[in-house]
Amino acid sequence: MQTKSTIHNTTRAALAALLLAVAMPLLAHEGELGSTPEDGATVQGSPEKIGIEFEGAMRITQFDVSGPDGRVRLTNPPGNDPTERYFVEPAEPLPAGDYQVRWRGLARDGHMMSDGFRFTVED
Amino acid sequence: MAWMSALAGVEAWTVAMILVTAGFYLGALLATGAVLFRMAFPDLPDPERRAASRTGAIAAWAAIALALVQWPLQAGYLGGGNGASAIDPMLLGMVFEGAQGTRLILAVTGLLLVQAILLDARRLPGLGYGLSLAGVLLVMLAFVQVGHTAGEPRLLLAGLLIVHLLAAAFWVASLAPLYRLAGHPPEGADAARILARFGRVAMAGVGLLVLAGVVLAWWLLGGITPLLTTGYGQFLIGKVLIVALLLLLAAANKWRLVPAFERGEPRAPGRLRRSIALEGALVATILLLTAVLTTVSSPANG
Repeated sequence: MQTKSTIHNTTRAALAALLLAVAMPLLAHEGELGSTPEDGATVQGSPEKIGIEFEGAMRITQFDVSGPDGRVRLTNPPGNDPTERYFVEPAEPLPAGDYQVRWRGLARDGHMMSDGFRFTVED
Repeated sequence: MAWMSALAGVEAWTVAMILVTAGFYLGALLATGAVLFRMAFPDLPDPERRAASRTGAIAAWAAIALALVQWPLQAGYLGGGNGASAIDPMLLGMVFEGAQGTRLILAVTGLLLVQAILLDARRLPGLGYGLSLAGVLLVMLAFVQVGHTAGEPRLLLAGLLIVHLLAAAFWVASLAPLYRLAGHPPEGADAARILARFGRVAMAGVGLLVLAGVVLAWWLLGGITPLLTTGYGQFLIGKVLIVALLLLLAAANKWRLVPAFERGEPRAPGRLRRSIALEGALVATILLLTAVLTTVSSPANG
């Protein structure tokens, strides 16, 4: 009897693991629709606003922009209420250079999200 | 490779979150699975029954502690991955008000109730089973608060995930008792009946796992391409490769270990124990990969 249970056990182990793996896509996230400026874009002159849009409501908890002169000072942050559009404005015009945006937020489904994008400002 | 870039920006804070999350998964599955194992085998020998309950209780307390640690870790993560954010009342409140807070309350309450199975030893088996089963259901409900099973059609998706998790929990929690049984092969009609019953329950468990897993995957996956192009999908492929290892293990057991058992070879119990221990290690790896998936992936980087 023990040998039969061994077969069942190992078969069960393999199938359970397979299904744990297969079922994982259910943990995918809220969709990110796009950013302004677009990721990798080169813009002429300082952008008036910088932000991201989502398919569902997101509570943004961190939104940092850094460039050639370090961290960029931002104005009009929308706060961290749930929103589908999160946009900020640079306090001063951005000088030419490469910029990186990093953000974090809490999705409606409870997932914590972290992502970012880059853009280049040309004179 | 997308999976490497997904991990490239991972900081120490995120690593801590991944480890705590994986530990919580393991503890919660072990604690709830111990109840299911006990209910499926009411005629277990006394030492095995006590050991299963004890393991379940220890796992439940570990999972409670880890669930409580997750809260400030999540707040800290939202604030950029630092200690100051971890104790920021605004961020702590934001986490608690949302789906993660509901999950925390359900999980902790459920994991406390799960331990009622210990009342069995106090000659209150009916009460103990009832409370601990309610605990199992609360923990399962906790799992469906976060993620896409919280989307529509919610009843179907959450139901499938709960069935899937119940079967997985039963399987994870059965590894330790099987390990003990393999080390001390039981004799007599009682042991034979237990093992025969185990085979039947295991088959039913596999059926539930297959059905729930396939339907969930079919409903939620939505395509093969993301499997290959995103870090998320590539982690998933990594998990399937580990599954392939488990299948090899199963084949080796079927063609070599089991016949050795039938012949009564003296080394067979030891080899079976090592095989089960290896299964446990592969399970731990799978849970760790699951925690990586749920912690570091996002729509843009997969």
